[in-house]
Amino acid sequence: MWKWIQAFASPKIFYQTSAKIIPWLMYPFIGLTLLGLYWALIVSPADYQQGDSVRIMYVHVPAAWMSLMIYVVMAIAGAIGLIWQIKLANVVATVSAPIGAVFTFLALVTGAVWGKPMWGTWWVWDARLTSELILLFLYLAYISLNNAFDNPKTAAKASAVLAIVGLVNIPIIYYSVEWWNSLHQGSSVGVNKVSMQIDMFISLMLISFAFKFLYGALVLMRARDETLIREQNSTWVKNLIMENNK
Amino acid sequence: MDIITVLTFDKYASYIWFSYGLTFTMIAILFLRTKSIHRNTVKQLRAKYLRNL
Repeated sequence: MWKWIQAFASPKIFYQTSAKIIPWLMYPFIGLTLLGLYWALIVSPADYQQGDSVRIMYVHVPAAWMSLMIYVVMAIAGAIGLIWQIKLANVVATVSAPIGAVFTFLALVTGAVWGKPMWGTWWVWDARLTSELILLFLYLAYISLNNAFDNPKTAAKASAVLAIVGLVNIPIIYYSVEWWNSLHQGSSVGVNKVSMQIDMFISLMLISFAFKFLYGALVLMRARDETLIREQNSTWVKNLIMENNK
Repeated sequence: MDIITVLTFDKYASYIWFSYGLTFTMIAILFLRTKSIHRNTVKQLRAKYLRNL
């Protein structure tokens, strides 16, 4: 297993292998998205209290889950890069940040759009909303810090420390609805509980898995380019680029 | 009940369609940006290698 990880972590092997994996992530993303949209907009029923506005949940909740998951991936990858000096881990952390920032932005905006008809306001300085906004700022700070250094090694170290420190915000976001009085509703899906109608749960899962495949595909696509830039002085990158030029 | 009637979503239509529209527009932008980064990377590296020939 460790040998396989070491081999895959080699930039050249990663570049070649990832090209074969990307289509296997893209096709499930497209399929699950189409099925998820059908389930979310047509099959799934309106909520007895919230009416059709509950359909916003099927993009809001998966986007919020992705914002948390990507940050955790980014911090773990940053830590691996910091401890074991694995170049690919730094690359994964770097390319994950803009994708995570987009999902956090989507969670905040779709949440505000859902909040207006349900709470009568776009925004409240509630613990869940505020901590999610802090997460967006953490992503933006990570991206800025990563771009602030000319040396990729220094940039990776500084931004990995920020990502690890910012990890403290993740449990705060997750448990905010339990720790503080919040306008935001509690979680309907947990490890041992699902407190929603089955078609609602299926819609949520379909779009949630579609987003995970999308993230996988985008990370690999962007990591391939980041690898080319970081390894531009290697012979294999030169050969690859010049052969494509012919 | 035809599909158009189902998809009007009563008074919440604008909120729902805005949320889905924004989500999939942002996903499309992520894709296009990723493709554009790839094109620029290859272009810049090719130019660099040709300069150093």
